[in-house]
Amino acid sequence: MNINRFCSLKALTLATLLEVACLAPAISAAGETKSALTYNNGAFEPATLTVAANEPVKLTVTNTSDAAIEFESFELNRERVVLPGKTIVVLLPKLEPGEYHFFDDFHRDRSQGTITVR
Amino acid sequence: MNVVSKALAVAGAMVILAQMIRPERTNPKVTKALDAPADVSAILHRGCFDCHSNETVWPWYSEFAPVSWLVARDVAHGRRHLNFSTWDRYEGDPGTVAEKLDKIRMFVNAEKMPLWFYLPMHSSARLTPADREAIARWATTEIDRIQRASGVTMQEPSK
Repeated sequence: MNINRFCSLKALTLATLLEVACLAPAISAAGETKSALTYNNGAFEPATLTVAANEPVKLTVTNTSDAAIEFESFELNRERVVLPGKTIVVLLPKLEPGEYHFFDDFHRDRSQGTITVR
Repeated sequence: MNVVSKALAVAGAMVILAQMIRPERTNPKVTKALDAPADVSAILHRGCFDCHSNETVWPWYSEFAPVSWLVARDVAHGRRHLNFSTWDRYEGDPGTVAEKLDKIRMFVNAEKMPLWFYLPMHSSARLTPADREAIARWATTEIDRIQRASGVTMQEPSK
């Protein structure tokens, strides 16, 4: 093995470990990804979530604004009202890699986000 | 050829050309049909299924543009919001199932569904007060059952 190949393999391994480390806190022992969204000031935070593919997801959505919102995603087939100051849990099945858009149906023009599955 | 004749000729040509743009009019596979009592199921089939299922009966006039574009758009929109033929896709999240049922109850009770412009060509879709009551009763029973079974609480129950 030449030095260049060794270095690139090492870099790849490091990158993989870093990626796993980033996802690891969100994965429970039961093989279920836990993730969270907060809605405030007309926007979801974070606007982009990354979750692991082929793992069920337990998504917590907290509405800290003073108006009701409706978390909705056509691609995920989910639709849930969240009253001000409340938190709900949205259960998602194992997802294929890809991008899944979600929005607040009550303020669709300005409140959107994406769940990236990889 | 006077102006009216020219305008008619142009309009006719546009209508003929419009026929070349054919929207997709498909009925994808039913993955899991909604499980409802026979009477409620019959009402939903009659009043809702053309736009909210994969069992659309495409009317003859949906063959011709520009009506075909509008019908295809309405069906796509209806299926996106609620599809009785892919009920399994909601079932992984009891809260979503309850929410869908609540919306059905709300829109039917408020006589917002079926849409007014759908009814002149589909008189059988017209819902009687008894039909609306049957749907509301069934939806309420189902929501209660889901809430008891899953512990999910509706955030904003509609009347």
